Parts: sequence; structure tokens; C-alpha cells
Amino acid sequence: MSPPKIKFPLKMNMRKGCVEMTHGGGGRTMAQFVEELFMRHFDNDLLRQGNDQALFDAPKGQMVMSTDGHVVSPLFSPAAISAR
Amino acid sequence: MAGARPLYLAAGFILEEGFALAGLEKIVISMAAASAKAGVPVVTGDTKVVERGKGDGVFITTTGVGVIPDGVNISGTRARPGDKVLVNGFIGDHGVAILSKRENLKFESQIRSDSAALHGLVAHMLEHVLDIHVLRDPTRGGVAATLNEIAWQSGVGIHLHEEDIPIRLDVHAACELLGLDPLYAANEGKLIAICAADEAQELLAAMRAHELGRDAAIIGEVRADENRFVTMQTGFGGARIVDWIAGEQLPRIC
Repeated sequence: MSPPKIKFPLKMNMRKGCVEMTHGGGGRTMAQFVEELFMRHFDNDLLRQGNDQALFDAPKGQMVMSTDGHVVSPLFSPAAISAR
Repeated sequence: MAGARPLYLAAGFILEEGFALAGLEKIVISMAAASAKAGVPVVTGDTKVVERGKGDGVFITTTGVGVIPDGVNISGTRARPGDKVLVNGFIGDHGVAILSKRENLKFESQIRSDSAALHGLVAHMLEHVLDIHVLRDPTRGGVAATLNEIAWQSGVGIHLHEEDIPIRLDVHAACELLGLDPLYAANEGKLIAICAADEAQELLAAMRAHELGRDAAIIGEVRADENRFVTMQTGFGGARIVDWIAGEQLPRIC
């Protein structure tokens, strides 16, 4: 069962707004920032649990993990994401 | 590039104060679309905000986990003399596209980045040739850096044939203009595959049958070489060393 939706007092201005320090502050502004920007688009069951971590069963076989850093310059280029 | 079936992604964002939300949303939407297309959900993440001037807009880190199918053993240490070296298509597109955009250079033809998620192609390749020895994506430093890394790891030499390396005519021309060598230009939708000589034709056919491998080619072979050089037979008939450059390729200024 997914948690009830939090009510946010002010609407985020996606068109004209900017990232502010409060978006990283840990308070309700940050919760709104994460919910309306990230959760909304990445939406999936594991993410929707709303925890700090995702819980899943370990698959059989050898596992592989890799990481990649991205800068977004020039800004038009979408970051191509793939777990290699 | 381990031949794994990707399962999940984590995404971390370090955001600079003042970065436009519209721009950020555009990035998130395109990441979500790429993730959905690849079938690999972003299941956890983190955001941090740093003060204005302390970050270049946005820095993103993605971490993926996957599982390796039975029988697959892919490693940079497995290139053997006699093996063939393959690439899945045209090289240098991404590096040249990004450089031209950054430096505001306009070419008559649109040089586009080749950005693509390759795990579907890799899975398809493994269905045809299970014993692929090496897989790696030639990103920064291009094909040259990647092959030098592999030659070093495996303790072998790699010899390329210039005429067999697929490079788009306009990328070639742009590189000539900018003083760049396409072998060193970054790619974002390419992989190098190394396999035994007797499986190379089958691997090539499998790659060409996939939409991300239509222009695949065998570009060279692995040989015994204690110096671990990457060399190339040029179009003129001579041979050159494809050096492992120390830093970044600099465009010619004069």
C-alpha cells in the first residue's frame, strides 16, 4: 500500500522557478521538490515506497554493478542512461 | 559491458542553486524516458543543493546493478592473439557532435550524437556468440584509449585496418577541419567486441541484424606483442602506432 499523498502549501513554478537552497534542506519544500520533479517522472513501485533505499530480492547468478558520472553540457543533450 | 541483464538504477543529483527548474525537468523527463525504453527503473536516488557558483548547473551520478547470465565470461583480460576486434557502427559521432555544439560550430550536415543504450544489442550478441571475450564502450578517449586499455589488461597487441573502420564522411571532414583524430573522439552508442576468429563472422552477422549494429565491422585483430601496442595499417599502406595519449586531444589552433 503506498503512503497517502502529502499536501504542499505552495505550487512549484516549473516554468520560471529555479533550484533553491531549501530544495535541499530536508523540509517540506524538499519533499515537494522530490515528489513533483523526480517521483513524478521516474514513477515505479519501488520508488513509490518512499524509503531511502529500494528493497528487492537478490537475483540468482553473478551480479555486476557499475557507476557513471554525468555533466550536462551542452544542456540540450539528454543523458543517455544505461546500466552497462 | 559485462553482458549483464540490467536490473535497477540509482540516480544522484547535485544541483547548483539557481539552476532553472524547467531545464532540470527536461533532463529528468529524458532520463525517465531512456530508463523506460531500456526497461530499467530508477529505484532510488538522492538530491543535494550547493550554493550558487559551487556547481556547474547539475552533476548526475547513476549506478546500475545487473545480473550476468550463465556461461558469460567477459573481461578486459580475455583478448587472445588471433581474436578479431569488432565495432557496432560509425565512430566519433558523439565527440564531434558535442564539440561542435559547445564551440558553436555549424556544419552543413547535422552531426548527431550516437547516444544509445546497448544492453539490448549485447543480449542479442550473446544469444549468437556466448563466448565473447571482451566488451567495452569507447567513451572518453575513443576507440584508441579503449583498445589501449584492453591491450594492456590482456597483455597483447591490437592491429587495426584503417580502411575497415566505419567513420561517417561528415565526421571525417569535421575532424580534418578541427585537427582531431576520430579514433580518439568519444562515442555514446558504440561498443568494441573481441571474440575468437572462428566466431567473428557469426558475431558480425548478429550485430548487423540488430538496429544498433547495422554498420558493424571487423576492424582488426589481436596479436602477440610484449609491448602491448595498438597499431594500424593505414590507407597509404604503412603502419602507425595508435598511441595511448596522456590527456585530452587538443584541437589544432593554427
